[in-house]
Amino acid sequence: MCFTNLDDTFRARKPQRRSKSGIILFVLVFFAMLSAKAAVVDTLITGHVLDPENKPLPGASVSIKSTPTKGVKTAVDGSYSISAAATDILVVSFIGYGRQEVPVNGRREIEIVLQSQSTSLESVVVVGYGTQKKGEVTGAISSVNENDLKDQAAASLQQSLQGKSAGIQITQNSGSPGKNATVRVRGLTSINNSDVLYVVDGVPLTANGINAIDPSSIASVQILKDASSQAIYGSRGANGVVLIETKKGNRNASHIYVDAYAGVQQVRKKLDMLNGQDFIMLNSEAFKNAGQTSPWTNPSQYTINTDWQDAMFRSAPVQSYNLAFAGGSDKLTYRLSGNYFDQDGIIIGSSYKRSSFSLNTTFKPNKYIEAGENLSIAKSKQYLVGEGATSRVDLLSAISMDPTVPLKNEQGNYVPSRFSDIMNPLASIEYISMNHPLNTWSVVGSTYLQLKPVKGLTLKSNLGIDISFSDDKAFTPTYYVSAAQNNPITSLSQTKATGLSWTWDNTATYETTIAEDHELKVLAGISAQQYSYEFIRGSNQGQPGNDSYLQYLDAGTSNPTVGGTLVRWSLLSYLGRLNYNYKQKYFLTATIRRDGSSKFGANNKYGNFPSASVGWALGKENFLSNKGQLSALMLRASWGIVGNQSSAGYYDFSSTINNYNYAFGNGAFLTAEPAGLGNPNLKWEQVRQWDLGLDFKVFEGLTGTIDYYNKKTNNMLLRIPILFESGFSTGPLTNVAAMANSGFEFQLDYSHHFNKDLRINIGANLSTLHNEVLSLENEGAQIFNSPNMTRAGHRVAEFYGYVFDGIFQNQAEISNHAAQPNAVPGDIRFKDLNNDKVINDLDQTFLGSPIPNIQYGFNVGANYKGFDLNLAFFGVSGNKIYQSYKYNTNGFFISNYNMEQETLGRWHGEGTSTTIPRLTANDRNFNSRASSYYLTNGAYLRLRNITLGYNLPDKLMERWHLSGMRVYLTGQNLITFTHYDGYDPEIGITFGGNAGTLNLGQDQVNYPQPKTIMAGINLTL
Amino acid sequence: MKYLLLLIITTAGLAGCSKFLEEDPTAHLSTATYYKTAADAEAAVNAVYAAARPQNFFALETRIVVGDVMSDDAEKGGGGASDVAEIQQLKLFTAKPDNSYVQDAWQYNYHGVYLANVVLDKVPAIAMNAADKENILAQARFWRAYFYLQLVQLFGNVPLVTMPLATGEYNQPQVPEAQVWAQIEKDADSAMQVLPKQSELAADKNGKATSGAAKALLMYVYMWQKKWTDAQRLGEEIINSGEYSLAPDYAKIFTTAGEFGTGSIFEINMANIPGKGVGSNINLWINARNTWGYGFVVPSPGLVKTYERGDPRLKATVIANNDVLPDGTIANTTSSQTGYYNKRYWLPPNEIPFNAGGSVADGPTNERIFRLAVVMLWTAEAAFHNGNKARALELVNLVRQRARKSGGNTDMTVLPDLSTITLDNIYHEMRVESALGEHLRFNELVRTGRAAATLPGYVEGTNNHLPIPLREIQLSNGLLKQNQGY
Repeated sequence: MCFTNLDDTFRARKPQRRSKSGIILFVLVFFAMLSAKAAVVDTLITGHVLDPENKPLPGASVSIKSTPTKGVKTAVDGSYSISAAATDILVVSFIGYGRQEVPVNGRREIEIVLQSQSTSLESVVVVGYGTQKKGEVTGAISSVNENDLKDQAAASLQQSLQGKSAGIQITQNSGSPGKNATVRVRGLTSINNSDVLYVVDGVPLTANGINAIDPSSIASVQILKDASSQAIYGSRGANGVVLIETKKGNRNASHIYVDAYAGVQQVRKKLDMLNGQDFIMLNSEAFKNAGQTSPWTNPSQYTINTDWQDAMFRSAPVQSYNLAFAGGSDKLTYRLSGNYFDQDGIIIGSSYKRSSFSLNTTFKPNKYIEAGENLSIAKSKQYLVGEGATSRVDLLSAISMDPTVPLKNEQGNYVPSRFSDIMNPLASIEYISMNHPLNTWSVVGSTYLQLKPVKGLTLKSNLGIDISFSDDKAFTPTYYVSAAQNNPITSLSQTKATGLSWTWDNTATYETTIAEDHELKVLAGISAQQYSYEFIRGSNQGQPGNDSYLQYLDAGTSNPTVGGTLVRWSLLSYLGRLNYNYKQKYFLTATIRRDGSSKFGANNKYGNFPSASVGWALGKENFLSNKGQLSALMLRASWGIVGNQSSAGYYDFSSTINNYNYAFGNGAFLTAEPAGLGNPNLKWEQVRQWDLGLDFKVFEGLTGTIDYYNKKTNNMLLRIPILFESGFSTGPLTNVAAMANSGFEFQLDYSHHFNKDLRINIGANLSTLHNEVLSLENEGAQIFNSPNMTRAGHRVAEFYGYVFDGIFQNQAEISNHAAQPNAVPGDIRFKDLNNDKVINDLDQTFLGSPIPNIQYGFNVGANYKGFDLNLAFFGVSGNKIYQSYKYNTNGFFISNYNMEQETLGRWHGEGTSTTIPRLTANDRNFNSRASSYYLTNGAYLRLRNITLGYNLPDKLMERWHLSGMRVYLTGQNLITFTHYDGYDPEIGITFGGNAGTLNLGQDQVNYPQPKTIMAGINLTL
Repeated sequence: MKYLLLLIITTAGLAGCSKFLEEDPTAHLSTATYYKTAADAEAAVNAVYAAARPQNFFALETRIVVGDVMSDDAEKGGGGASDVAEIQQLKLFTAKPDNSYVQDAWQYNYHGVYLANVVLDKVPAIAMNAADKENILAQARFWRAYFYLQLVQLFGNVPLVTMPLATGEYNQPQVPEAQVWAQIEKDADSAMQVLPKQSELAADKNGKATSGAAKALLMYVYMWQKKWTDAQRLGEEIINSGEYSLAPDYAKIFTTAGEFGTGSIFEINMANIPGKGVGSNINLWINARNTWGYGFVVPSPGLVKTYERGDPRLKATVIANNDVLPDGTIANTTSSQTGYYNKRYWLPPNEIPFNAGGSVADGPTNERIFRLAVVMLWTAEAAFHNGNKARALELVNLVRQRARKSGGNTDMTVLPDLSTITLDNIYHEMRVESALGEHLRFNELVRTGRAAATLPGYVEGTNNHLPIPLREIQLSNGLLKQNQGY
């Protein structure tokens, strides 16, 4: 979005000021030179001006700061030579790149790398409804720029952001192609909804809309972390805001970009499951231990040994092709791009394809007016397999499947497990998943008009849209695997949905400088938004065949059903912001937003969200600026109140009518009664946050940021129990619960240019998180979705259950232990936590958190001549993983499920095991109860990305008439350091579960993330 | 400055559309958009009826738990002493305030009160036919009286809520029983004036409240308060109204074919209409454990013994081992706690809900609330207290005569007419006439002061009421006072 022109104003203004002081300096220097010529000796300084990819920048200007008139332009190879004194400061600038000041410090040869405009330290940072110069930001904002994003060959934005910034936790919930990751800013902000707000080119998007944005078209990402930066988004800002700018054309150069990559993905590891003979042996033992007859008579007759994991996993291709035309003139810029992305999942049957197109243009006929638009259109098609907490988890079925059953029988048909209720996953995928495409069209865009009628004043009107059309079409053919797994009649269920969101912002910005030292910028605006979602659903059965031309509702012949509805919310906002600084040393930002939302009760339709932050540029104080080493130092503090409206449903303020029936005579008559009570006082969840931060630049090349934040979420929504005299047992959603989060964030970046050929950059970040639920007032004062317990005084969604205390070796141990009914030797001993000599509900406790309390990332990059190498790591620690799939694979639900090889080490006689209980087909001790037995350390460190690239030499490029060409190899998730023995330690929310965001960290053999090797090419014409 | 003006105009323009922030729930009507038409009013009052059906699939209807199991007519039954132990605790008078049946009784009756209050609050403003409106309001008053009658019988001093409560008003203090009785009288009396007679009700509206039903309710309220003159007056009005007559065969009254018979004054209507959810789970809970039910509420040996020799009403009420059932099958009651099963909810195979297209919770047997025979016996009791023993004797004998000719009985020596009358004669007749049918027994024992002498463990002054649910006392921050002895 485009306050870019404000920079022009800045640029236009600042040199004036500088030139004033410059003249004075010039005069002083001139006289000094006259009077003491020997003191200042100019020497000839040479070097090159390069772009971030070490390509020469011809035509860049190099001048002496104290003598701006004394400037030169760089040659075709980027070289320059200028005479300057050892104490001079070179000023280097080039359109599209950040201006840089380089102290000569007595050097003769100086290589200068300019950062592109959006990323340099002096560059502007996109903030809500405007921009700010990076050095003047007083809020806590994490920036991820184009350099961090490009060359990553990431399937999604979230993937490329992971591990890049302190305080941003990104968890891939699934390795299934096209699935969203969970993004949390500074922990879980609410027990209800903690999803961040995405704003692309100034337009708030839906979760669906963000998928329409091709990751390769993103120029920069800013993540607003503290209340000061979020408050301008008022009731939608509290969970953090991800501001995304898409790439625009350059004013001075036209290029064609071709980017392509292709690669192959594989599963990181397989679980070690039992072979057929061991499978029969252990299951037989389980029946014997339960005093039951094993169905496995004459085990030697079962000779087949099927590896179901091999049948489920595949080497899956991934490919992406991108073509972009970008360029422009003084009056017009454009960028037109198209992308095709195609990823098959590493589990058969899953895939995601996306075609997208985008066009960004700006038009600036004169200095008073500017207009532009951004448009992205994407079409995707996704196939999913059963995963998560759904009724059908195909991978869990695969590892639990009877290994003595063949993939198919002689007739080519799928066969069921012999004696278990496990569904054949291959059949489920072929018949159900592969007949169930989800097609989505997304249109996301904005158009703006900007006027600058007088100096300092900018008026802007921005209209944004986010439209999605989805078509979810599930056809079930007739098939027969077994009595339990079959479909006797064809059926089709189809849902068509339209999501429509529009936003209209009108803002006025005025900036001025008063008495030289007081810089002032004021923003006022009004914003209106509306979102609606409408769907129509139909189903019909009895299509006369499985052919694709019969997979339409009209072909059905029995039991047709229909359904559909529309939901909508609206938001009307007034916003204002003041930025002030005195001598570029003391900074103040104050914002206020007043939001009215249709989601809230009549008594609380409007809420106010104020914030303020201050900054002190210590580095510019005389007492520090002389120290030389500290070239920039900014101390920041912020406070504010931000809202979260996403936790409330569309109509929770109201009381809807439920219709049932009552019989009079022999007929049913309609009844109507309020479904519950509305809450006319319903309002926003409210987050108060303060933040203390320090930005520093210790010496050339090393920058860092340290933040401490403390936020308290109040008024979280819960249904509280109420007196029955009200007519109901629970009240409406009420603003009652509270939670706190706090933590430290550290970010360090170092880059060094050794010479023209070699440069390195290193970045590292680390964040800590402390969470505590302060109060809950719902029935039972807890939210328990086993094994996750949320209760006041504890961390949110902690694991909760019994404590595993070894295995009973003999009857004496059982007798000496607290009463644990039905335990026999070989069963798990649970700890008697309250010492009441009986094991019951009261012996459950909090066992650890699924949320890491430390997460970190670091990346190392090096460029040598044409080569570039980049490694990005990401890690978490302090969290636990609950391996609920071990219910199946450790033999707790023995009904002829296959098990992991580790169960060969189960207890089968005194002294045989202290870690794995006996196997039994009748678990009377309830060994499978939620306990620490299933918990394991969830820490890991992952090499998220490693890329080796090579820029072909310029000479070759000239011969080929190309501007640039780079080839690269990328590996993703190649190495993971962890003690975790499941598929993948990266476990997100348990989607498909009914608990939403509070069901975390459970491994139900979630779809593992692939490790990927890709080769790619970037071509610039 | 003019640009600032422009901004203000733009802002004001948008702010002007204040409707922009007003959204009403879609696809569902809301309390804000409902209650506008005559059909809305009708559906709203129908919801009050529905609130009198069993509300919790996983629990036995409290009216039956209290009226039958807590009395000497029945034992809990089911699958052994620990099967739904909370009912057994009620039976043994050891129930604590956190007993879920206690809580259910409070919750569902107040939900009924609430729905009646919604009608009384919302319907007056609806533009509709005045007579229809008055009728609907009268139905709501009838039901409010009914639910408060349950509450005052079960709990004694209860909060009296006569309007839908707003947020923040939920915590209401208990009022003295007399005040609750007064409110019930007022509602029942007002309903009685407006509701149609039974004969004015179309057959396809069977189950709607009538003036006769309201009159019976009010009469019972007078009985509780020992207002014998008023009670007898209303009883005689019902008996002499010409609206009701004793159905000829007692044995058919409690079958589905006997529903809304000539002697029926009020029933909570259940039906098995698949997909509509208008039946009950009572058949499921009460039918024999070795057939398709859970086998709860089994007749006690004491009840069986209390029937006079040859009283046809015994076979209409109790299934004994080897009895021939109406469908010709031979009963096996060995799985019953007492050796008997409850016949009130027995169904022939073609009426078992899942054989008739419904779910197990679509039991079709109506709940009989008021019957002419019961009203006659109450009238007899009131007449007795009023000194009119002759009328009491006459009424009791009328009930006995009908019973004598029931169930195909040909031995006219059974149940001979009484020649003199005592209160105990009347009480006895009431017990055998209504056992396990109207679920009156426990309330009748309490009302007539005979509970302590009849029920082991019953403590007068404590067990005439259930405890106030613990949850309510806690949520009221102590405003609600626990009943004496709990």
